[in-house]
Amino acid sequence: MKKAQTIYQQGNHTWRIIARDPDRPNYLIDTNEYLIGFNGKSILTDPGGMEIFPSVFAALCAVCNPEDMVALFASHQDPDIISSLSLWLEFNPDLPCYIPWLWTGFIPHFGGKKDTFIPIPDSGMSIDLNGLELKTVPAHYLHSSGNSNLYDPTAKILFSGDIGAALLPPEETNVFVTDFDKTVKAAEGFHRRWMGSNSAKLSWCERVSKLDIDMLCPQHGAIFKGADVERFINWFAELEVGVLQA
Amino acid sequence: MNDTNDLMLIVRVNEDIKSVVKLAQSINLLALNAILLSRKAGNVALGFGVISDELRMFSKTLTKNMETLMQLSYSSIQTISLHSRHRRMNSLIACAAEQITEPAYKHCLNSSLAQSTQLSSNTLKAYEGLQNLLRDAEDTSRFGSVISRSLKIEATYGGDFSHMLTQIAADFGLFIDSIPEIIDRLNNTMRRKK
Repeated sequence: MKKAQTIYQQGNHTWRIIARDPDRPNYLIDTNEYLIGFNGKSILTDPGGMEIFPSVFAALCAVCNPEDMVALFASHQDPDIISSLSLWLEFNPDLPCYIPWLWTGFIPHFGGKKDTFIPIPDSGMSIDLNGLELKTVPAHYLHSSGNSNLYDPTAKILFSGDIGAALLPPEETNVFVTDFDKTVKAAEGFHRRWMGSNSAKLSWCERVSKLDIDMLCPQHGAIFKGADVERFINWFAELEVGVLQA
Repeated sequence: MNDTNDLMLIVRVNEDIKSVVKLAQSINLLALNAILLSRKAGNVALGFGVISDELRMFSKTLTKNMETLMQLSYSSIQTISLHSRHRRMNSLIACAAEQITEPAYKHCLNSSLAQSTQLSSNTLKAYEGLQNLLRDAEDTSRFGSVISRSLKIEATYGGDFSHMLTQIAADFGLFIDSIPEIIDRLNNTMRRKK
C-alpha cells in the first residue's frame, strides 16, 4: 500500500507525497502523487492510473478528508497521470480537473463531462487554492506536447511532472535524492528518450532557474532538494535529449 | 446503496475514527497534566490523581481500539475503492453487452458480475468487522464517561487546588462527552449500510 508523507509544513500549508507502493506489481511504473493543502482544502497533482486508485485513495484518506479536495491537476495526458479520473469523479462528480488545453479533447476519454475540465493555456495560469496562489509553469514537449508543471511560490516547491523522473530500483525507498550522481544516472536514459526537444528543454531550464525553488518534485523517483535542484537544472541543460541512444 | 456511496460512507467513517483518535490523544495529554497537578496538590488530591491515572489508561485503551479500527477502515477503503473501480468497468462492459449479441460476450459480462458480487461480499465483511470493533470502542467510551464524572466529584475535595482541578475535570468532561456522539454517528452510518 502507498503511504502519504509530509515533505513541507508551515501552519496550515502542506505538501504531501503519496509514494512507494511495495505491493505494486512490477509491470506498473511507480508514481508520486502530491497533495497540496492550504487552510483545509487541497489539490492532488497527477492522481495516477486506474490500477493504483485504491492505493492512492486509501493513502490520501489517512491524512486528509477527500471531501476537502477542491481540484485535480494533470500535468499531461498519460495513463499513469490521469486514467483514474473517472473514479475520482465517481467519488465527487463536481471535482474540477486542470489540464493543458491541448488535451481537452483527449483526457475526457478517461471520464468527466464538459465542465470537469479547466484548460491551462500554453502560457500558463494561476490557480487559487483557498487563498494560496499556485502557478502553472509551461513545460511543453517535456515530454508531452502540451505539458505543465505546478509551482508554489510560498513553499518554494516545483511539481515538475516527468522532468527529474528517475526509474529507481525498488530498494530505493527514500523520497528524497540521497545520491545525486546515482539518481541522474537512473534518470538519464529516460530523459534522453522521452524529452522531445532540446530548445524546449533549454527554455524550461532558463525559466525555472529564475524561480526560487527549495524542492523539485517529479512524478516518478525522488525529490531534488536544496543545492541538488540547481545541480539538476544544470545537468538537464547539458543533456542532449530527443535521441534514441546516448 | 451503490459503492460510490459506499466510498463516501467509508470516508466519513474514517474521518470520525480519526477525530476520536485525536480526542484520545488530547485526553492522554490532559491526564498527564492532571497527574502532575495532583502530585503537586499532595494529600488533598490523592483521589484525583488515582482517577487521572485511570483516565490515562482509558485514553490508551481507546487509542488502541481506534487504531485497530483505523487499520480496518484503511483496508476497507482499499476494498471499496477496488469495488468502485470494478463497478466502473462493469458498467462499461454492460453498455457494450447491450449492443452485442455474441454469447461469448454475455459470458464476459456474467463473469464480471460474479466478481462484483464477490467484491460486494468483501465490502459487507469489512463493515461487519468495523461494527465489531466499534462495539469495543463503545464499551471503552462508557467507562470513560463514568470515570470522568468521578473526577468532577474528586476535584471538589482539592482544597486550595480545587479550582484548577475542577477546570481540568471540566476539560476532561468536554473531551469525553463528545466521544459517544461520534460513536453514535458511526453506528448510525453502519446501520445505513446494513
